[in-house]
Amino acid sequence: MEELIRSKFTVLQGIYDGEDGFCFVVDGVGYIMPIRVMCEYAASAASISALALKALDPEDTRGWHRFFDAWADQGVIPAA
Amino acid sequence: MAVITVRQLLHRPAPGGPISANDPLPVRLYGPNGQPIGLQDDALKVALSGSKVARVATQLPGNTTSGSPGRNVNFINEIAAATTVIIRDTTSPVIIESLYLLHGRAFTFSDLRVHFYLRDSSGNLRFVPVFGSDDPSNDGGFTNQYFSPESLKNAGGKSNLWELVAWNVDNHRQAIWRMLTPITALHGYRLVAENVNQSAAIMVRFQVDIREVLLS
Repeated sequence: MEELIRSKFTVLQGIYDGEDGFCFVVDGVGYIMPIRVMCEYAASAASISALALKALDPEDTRGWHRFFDAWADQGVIPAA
Repeated sequence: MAVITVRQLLHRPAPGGPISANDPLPVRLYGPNGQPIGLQDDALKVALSGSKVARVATQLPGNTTSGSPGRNVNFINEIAAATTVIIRDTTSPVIIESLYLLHGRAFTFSDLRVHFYLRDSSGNLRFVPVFGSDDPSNDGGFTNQYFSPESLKNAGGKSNLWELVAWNVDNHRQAIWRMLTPITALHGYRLVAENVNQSAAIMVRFQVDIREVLLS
């Protein structure tokens, strides 16, 4: 996941108290997220796809489903 | 675009004078008869004669859903876990005349952090540090680069940049906070809101109301 993030998104070095973050845009709004947090989340996914990533948090407690859907629409990750 | 003289436009304390980037406070504009300019429904751009030009911003770019001209009203219904939302990011020279943050529904105040950066002449972002957060181990450094409703509440409602105007102490439901004073951002600024909770979104109606005066 880290390789994908670093190759597909703009990385902001050290933005989170020394940790790298990555930028993305969804519905015209810009977001930044720590790379480590997303990598830790995705580590237990069956695959790196929107479907598999959403399955890790079926209730969307984190509010990331729309990010995964957007990344699939943008061709960053497969939908399923 | 109507051109009106400086004296007609500016309501400002003595000694008066033309608009200057170093003298940004008297930015409220009035017409010849004392009526406020920039609050009407129609788009309004005002140029001052000569090389010093002030422009009252009307519709600013961004996630605007409603609001009167000159105001950028953003509504965010949630801030996802571990996510930083870029609320405003501009390289235009502006005076931030007023900036309000409003949020409702219960959430943990300490989960929300707001970062405010001014850009320097090279476009680099320079955060505005929290007074009292000096880091003794790092000369000139600061430990806190953010403001939160929790820290404001604990500090009695006021910091060097923000003031907690009102909040509901019962279950941390609503809060209104604002920037204490107009700020000149000659090279632009960035305002972001961060949810530091890594496992849960903040389900909050988060509203930002900014009134900028563009300098050009």
